[in-house]
Amino acid sequence: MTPRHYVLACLMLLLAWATPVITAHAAAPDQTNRLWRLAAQEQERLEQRGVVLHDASLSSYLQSVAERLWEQVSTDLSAPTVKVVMDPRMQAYAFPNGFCFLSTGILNRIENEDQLAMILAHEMVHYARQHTAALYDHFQMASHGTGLPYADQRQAAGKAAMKQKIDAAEHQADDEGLAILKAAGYCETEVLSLMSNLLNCLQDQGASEAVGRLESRIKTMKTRIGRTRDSVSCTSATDGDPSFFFNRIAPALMANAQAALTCGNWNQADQSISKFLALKPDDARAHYLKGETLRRRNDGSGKNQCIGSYLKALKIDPEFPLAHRALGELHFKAGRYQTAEPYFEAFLSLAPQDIAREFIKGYLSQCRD
Amino acid sequence: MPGLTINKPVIAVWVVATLMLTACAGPWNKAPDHLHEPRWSITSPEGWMQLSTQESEMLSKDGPYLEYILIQSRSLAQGFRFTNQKLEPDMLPHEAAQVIADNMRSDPLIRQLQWLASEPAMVGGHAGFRLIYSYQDPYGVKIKTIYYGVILPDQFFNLRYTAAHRYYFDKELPAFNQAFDSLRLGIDLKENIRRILKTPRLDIRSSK
Repeated sequence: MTPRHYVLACLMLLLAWATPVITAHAAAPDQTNRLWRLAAQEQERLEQRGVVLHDASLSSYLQSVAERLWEQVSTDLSAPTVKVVMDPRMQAYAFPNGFCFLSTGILNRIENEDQLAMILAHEMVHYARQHTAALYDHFQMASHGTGLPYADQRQAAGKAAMKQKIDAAEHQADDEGLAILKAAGYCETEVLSLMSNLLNCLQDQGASEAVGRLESRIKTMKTRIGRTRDSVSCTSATDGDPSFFFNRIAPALMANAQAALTCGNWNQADQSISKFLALKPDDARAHYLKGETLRRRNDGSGKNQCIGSYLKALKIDPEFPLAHRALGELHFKAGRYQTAEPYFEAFLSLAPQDIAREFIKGYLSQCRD
Repeated sequence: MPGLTINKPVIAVWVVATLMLTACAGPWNKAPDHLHEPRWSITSPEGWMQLSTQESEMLSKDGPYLEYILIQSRSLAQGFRFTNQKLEPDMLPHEAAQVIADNMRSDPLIRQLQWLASEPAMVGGHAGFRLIYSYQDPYGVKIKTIYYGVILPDQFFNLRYTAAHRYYFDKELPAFNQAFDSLRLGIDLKENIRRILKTPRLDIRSSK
């Protein structure tokens, strides 16, 4: 599963910068400080890339779920902060300083609050147990204290030890995460649906290594959930209203559609924006993004459908500039210059500072000639 | 160097440039006066070095980390590194520019990406686009790029100038502009006519 990749990636990053010789006992506090500092730098990097989604209602909702779970965790650490990163890949990871990041791609795959709670509970355990710091310490000791004479032998031994430790950390996060989930009153049976859903996604992506690891965790999880299924009492906020959860995460669906479009992942863009439109059919921007998905997929079937989506966007909001631009472009490319002209004029009037304005002025000039 | 205050970023530039020049010392040669490929030709800036690869030609004066000109002609079917998008023969210039911009946005190593311009441009006599953007690289150095691109019948031609924003970008910009002005694109006449008939041709002045 992706969090495991991130632990590894984080550690690899740290190792690349690590000083060659550190004695584990003396350096442990420094290493923890270093990890926290690097975590803060990585978060800053995400902010600077402009990929962190800032939506007050979504943040408030995610934080409320996190705090409900955190009440069940006995630790002196402060409550984690949940953030969303605009990325269509399935990602969830916890930094050692308590920041948990969920990608819009994983939110797009989650079907209810119970599933969201399991992902957060799993990441919280990584944070509460300070797995990254522990793995880092372990790796330092493994790579310097194996007694093996050659660097490649030490590296191989280190990798094997690291893999074992990561597997153990993931299983601990699953086990304790499940306990937190149950204690907070969420439905544990949803966990298997979640994992099955994530497994299907990984299989679609051809991530065979990750599929194998997730299958192993699903097996373990099945035995644990099967033991206690009869005693479950669920009080999820989504009970009785399936759209409650989707309404809360709707901003992430919209952001995921945009991020998937940027990456050229047309199917996911279509899936996200279709989910969003099912919740909010009167959103002009969503219809525009639906049109963009159909147009840019360019599989021959979407040309006329995308025009319909752009027109719907304009019916809802006649002053939505991007839909004017898109319709102008479509007609222009088809040689229907007279039809394109008013759309381009409307776009330039509504969005005089848009970065594409010089292009559109050029096309408009062509239409008038 | 007049007007240049040595500080951390500048030291970082020099250190990395030294490492890269050392690493790339082998294949770099003095650039010929004119670079010719079957479909394009350009006059090299005087005194610059050249690195030829199968996919592109790179020119640099002080080392590629400080400034370089990259000339590339690639198949339209070739994918991009950070996205699954593809360029299509019937794309308008700004649609092609958007594909390039999306690939840049998806590069995980780029920080503080800023779009300074996206506009039509004549590239070797053909309607294309010009992007200007700046970003911070993984070493924290601010980099600026001018990127010209044009879709030809079966190729995407692009020519870009990238340099450390501080000092180097402005210093070698005239050399790049001269090289850009010398660019000639040669296209198979039959293919060109087919394209003109298929899509509306633009008549947009270069806004360089």
